[in-house]
Amino acid sequence: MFLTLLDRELRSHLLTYRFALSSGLLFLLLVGSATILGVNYERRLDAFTEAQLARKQKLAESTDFRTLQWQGTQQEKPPNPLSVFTVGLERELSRSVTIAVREEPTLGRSKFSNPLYVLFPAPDFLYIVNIVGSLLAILFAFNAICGDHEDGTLRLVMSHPVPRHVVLLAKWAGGFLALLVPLLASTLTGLLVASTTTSFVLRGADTSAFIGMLLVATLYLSMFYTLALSVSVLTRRSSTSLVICFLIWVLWVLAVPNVAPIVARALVPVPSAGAIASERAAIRRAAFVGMRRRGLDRDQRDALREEAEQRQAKETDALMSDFTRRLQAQVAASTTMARLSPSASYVYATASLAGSGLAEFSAMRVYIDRYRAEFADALERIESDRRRSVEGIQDREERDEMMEAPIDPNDLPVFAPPRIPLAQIAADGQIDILLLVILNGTFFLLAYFGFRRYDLAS
Amino acid sequence: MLRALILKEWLVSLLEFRFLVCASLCIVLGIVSVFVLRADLASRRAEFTHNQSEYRDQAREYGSYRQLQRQGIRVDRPPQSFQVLFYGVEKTLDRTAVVSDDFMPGFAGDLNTNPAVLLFPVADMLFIVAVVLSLLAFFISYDSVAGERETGTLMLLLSFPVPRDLVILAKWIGGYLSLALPFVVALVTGALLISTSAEIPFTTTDWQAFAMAGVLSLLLLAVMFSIGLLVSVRARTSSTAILTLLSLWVLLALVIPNMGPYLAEWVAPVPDVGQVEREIALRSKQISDQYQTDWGSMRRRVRGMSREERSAFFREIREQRNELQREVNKVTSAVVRNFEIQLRRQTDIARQLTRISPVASFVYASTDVGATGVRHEERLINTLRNFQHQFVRFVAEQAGEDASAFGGSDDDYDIDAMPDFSYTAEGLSERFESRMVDTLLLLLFAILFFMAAFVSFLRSDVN
Repeated sequence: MFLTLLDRELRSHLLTYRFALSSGLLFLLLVGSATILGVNYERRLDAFTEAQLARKQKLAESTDFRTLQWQGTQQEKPPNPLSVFTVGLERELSRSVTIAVREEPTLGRSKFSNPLYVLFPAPDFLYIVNIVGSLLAILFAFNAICGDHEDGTLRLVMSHPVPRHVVLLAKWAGGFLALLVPLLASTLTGLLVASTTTSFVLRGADTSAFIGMLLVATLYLSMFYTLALSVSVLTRRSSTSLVICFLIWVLWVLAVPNVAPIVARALVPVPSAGAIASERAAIRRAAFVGMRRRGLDRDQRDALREEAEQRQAKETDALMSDFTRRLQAQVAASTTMARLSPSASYVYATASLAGSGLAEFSAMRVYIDRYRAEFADALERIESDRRRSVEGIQDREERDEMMEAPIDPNDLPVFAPPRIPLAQIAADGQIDILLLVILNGTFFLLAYFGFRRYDLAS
Repeated sequence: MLRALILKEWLVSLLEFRFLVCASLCIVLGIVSVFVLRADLASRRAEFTHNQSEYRDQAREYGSYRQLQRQGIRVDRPPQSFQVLFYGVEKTLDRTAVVSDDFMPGFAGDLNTNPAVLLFPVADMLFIVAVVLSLLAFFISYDSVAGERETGTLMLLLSFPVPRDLVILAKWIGGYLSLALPFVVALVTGALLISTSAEIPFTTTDWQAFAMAGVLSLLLLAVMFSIGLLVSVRARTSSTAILTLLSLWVLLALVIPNMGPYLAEWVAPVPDVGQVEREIALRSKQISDQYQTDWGSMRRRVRGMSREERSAFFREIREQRNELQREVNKVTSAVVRNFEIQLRRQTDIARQLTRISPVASFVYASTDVGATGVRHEERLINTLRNFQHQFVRFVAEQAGEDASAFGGSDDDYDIDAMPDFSYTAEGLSERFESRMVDTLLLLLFAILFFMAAFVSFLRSDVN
């Protein structure tokens, strides 16, 4: 019985202008976006490879070991393949980082250099599903019940001996399949086109993350679809249903997530990055002010330096841990507020699955600090090794030459920010998934009870 | 006659649930957005003033001009008054620059910031007009003809002795007003919110820009409404009309503008930022290799010198170093400028490609009129570079009087006379001139689509 009804629903969807238009639109957008972002990824990958080579070459040719200590090294994260589908914070995460022993790490210019990138959001899979997908989900369901009621087919169907819940279930499944199948097919086509025409490849953990992204997208779309279905059960006229669905959609997709971060920034203020950087510089200067005294012998100077370094480290740590705590509070406030809208939950979950979410950003900060310590250790080790090996040599020039010789690039630690493991992402994204599931369930129950009490006569 | 018809359209839409929803959405969103961004701007401005004096205090602590020259002074991005309406490029995380005697300064990013803002567009007036209101324009117009045809009222109306051109004109005016009036209410409330806030110094120029941005927004709404009317005339049923319009909205408001930079990158690629940096490093290394000094032998030479000889020698070295720095700066700026010319070309191409969408034209025009767009970004960077020249000149003049300026501290170290970084936006007429094309395009689109709707209606079959 269910299958007959499902069959009927599917057929009635497949023949509509709505189905043709939405499938065409989704195909055009998803395939086009994957292709264009694939090209962008390829360019960034080429630039990255070139930068790696240039860096190695520079290290190998560099005749001055001391410069490396002072000026440091420029490192960058390899471009993220999943950015073809979700750009997220990739613009920020892909910048090069200058890491030096005695300077704070600084970020280079964005690889997305055109200023228009700031003005417009990236038209990726995330964006298309978030806005276009949810809009289509509403269009597929807003008149599911009230439309049939208006044109009388609902009474006809109910005159047959079918339980109401089966009718509702068949309606739900039929319309949703008609929406989901073209969307998934287009995404996979996009994947195929991007992997054949560009150097984008999906492998390893990225494949599971990609499947996860598809599942979250399904959950999100089903949420909006079920919402529209329940509205169509609870209203009598499809024009009213459309207006209500539309209002909720605008508030959830276009208003709440875009306002919340700014509100949180105003409610939970933190000092700006510039203020923090200048405070760190002040701490450094204050700590080393005693070093300027003249007439100290070497041991005294070393002792003073040790003390100054300790003081600097202590004060900087205190400053940074306080700042980080406040920053996290601000980020938490904006995510919590934005989660009033399921669209934000969807974006957070998908961006972190793609490896360019908020967690990745703070992980990057932690990783850079760790890498800087490793870098300093490596340089110190190389220096002490060299000092040991030149001990016996009397000729000053020869000693200098050995001390300042180029280093083997492989002696430096590799800059590779680890991908947050999927299990961790899943654990962190629990709340977002849970919210989507709860909303799905609520709307379905609403539709179910509404339909059981539905008055066919009026 | 026309007035009666407009009145009828207006009354019909007033009675509708849809109108109520659209109007309140427009007003509420507009007010919330200005209210929130006003608080944001106030805190940004407070932060900016605080940081600026903080940076100056720190520069005072350096104690010597050499230190000042080497360590430089920090400069924050000045908040723009207009970001309360159009956030534009101010969304960027590149907020602080260090101005010293080496390198061309630029605003740099920092990981110590809240990235949550970057995952979503900011709900400013620009977003509300370009995305939400353009959708509402379609939503109000989709059934104005198609719906009446379905219910049969159109036939009834045309059975009266009214000319068709008046009917369609009345439909346009009545429908447009039902969208434009709530928007004007939102704008006026926004203006009140801005003018009552003590922290937002809106100047006369800003108010003129505000009025201009208002006109641009109304123009965009006219374009979108005319497109909606055209589709409504041509579509057989109102459900076909809304589906077509929603697809059009997705393309015009969401996809085409956002694809612009990516497409332009494809058509007119520019070198990667890292590549540019490497080229600068390579060229500067070539220059400094020529000036390569042998510190070991120098130390030996200095040991045997008298006091006067030594100071002359140091002065010479300093001269050499300055000379080197000048050379390096020259090469650096040549490379950067070359890169920027290419980048500007790419930006222009992105604009050309996306101008088929009136929403894109609107975004370019209104951000540049409000001085939060691409032109503002370029001007800001140029101002920063000019400030660097001022800064270097100031330090050189001050340090020049002091012969002992090679390390240590200066007794007469005083930076009160040091210039401040100050940025003023471009004059309004230049801003507007630069976006004349976009404004004309909007006007052209509005007229074109209205004419198309008009002619279609005259020729259409009422049955």
